[in-house]
Amino acid sequence: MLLARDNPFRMQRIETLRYRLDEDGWQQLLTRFAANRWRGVLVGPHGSGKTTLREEIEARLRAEGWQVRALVLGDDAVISWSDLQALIAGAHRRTLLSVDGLDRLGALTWWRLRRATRDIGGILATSHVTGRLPTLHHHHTNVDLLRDLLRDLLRDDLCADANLSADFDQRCDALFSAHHGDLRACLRSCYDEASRPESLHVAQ
Amino acid sequence: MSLEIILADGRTAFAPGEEISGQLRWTLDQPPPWVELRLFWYTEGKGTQDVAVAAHTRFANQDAVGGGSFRLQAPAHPPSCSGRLVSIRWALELVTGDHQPVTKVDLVIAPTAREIILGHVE
Repeated sequence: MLLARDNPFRMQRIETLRYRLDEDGWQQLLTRFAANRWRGVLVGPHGSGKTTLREEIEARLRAEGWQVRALVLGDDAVISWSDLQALIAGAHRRTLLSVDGLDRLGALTWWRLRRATRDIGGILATSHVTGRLPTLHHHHTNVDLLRDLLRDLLRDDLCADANLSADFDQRCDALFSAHHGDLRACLRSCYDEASRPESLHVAQ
Repeated sequence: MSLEIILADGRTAFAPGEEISGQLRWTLDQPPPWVELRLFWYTEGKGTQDVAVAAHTRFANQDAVGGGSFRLQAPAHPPSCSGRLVSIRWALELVTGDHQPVTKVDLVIAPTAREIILGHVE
């Protein structure tokens, strides 16, 4: 049995994966963000890297002296206006309000929030749909990206050679198709497969 | 720059209540704002990570090159354990300021000083 601490697809390893964007891409993204008064939304389907990119943008802005205030809205999110007021109290021109799941915020609440944050430094959000803020980045996934991520996760693994076996590409195709391109779901599936007693590894 | 946690007798496995002791050494580019040793547990596995600090000791006014000794008592809960979905692990971590590099030593803290392996029922 593969123990959780040894599973190459454990959450702590998945969280070390970086968003695939080269330095030119970063420059273009941040230039576009600045041109929109630091207002923008990362749009894409489930498991396409929106939260990963949001966290990396936050880290870059923090390193430049920005203060980041984050609001993560889950599927069953219930947030009151007073909670939002507390979140933005004292926000200033170097404050970035980061909203994960902007599309889960009701229309009236969003209208009030947008008015209340007119003068703060910026708003960065993730959403499954366009609108409310200028689209900063549109996320897409493909099977090559899944292959890259899996190779990264398995690179240091003792079983790496076995993992990158002949049917690796086919396994990736099947996984990607089964989860309709949701990379997070693909990686969770890999975790489950790797942890099965009869399975030595996901891609063997 | 280097950070070291040197455990007495090289021991990394302890039963609850046993003493965890050793030496700390650091060589930094400049004097650290503070140096802190933390004994904590964390989870690894399929879900979001939980972390909790069980004990910590902060050393103030330290030089860039320095060290010290420490002595802690191994807590009773939670024990180091591992199954398919989650592992609970203990560690000692030496931190020399916010956003500075850290060093970590994994420990086992459990009855009989052995990690509990969670089996499954067929």
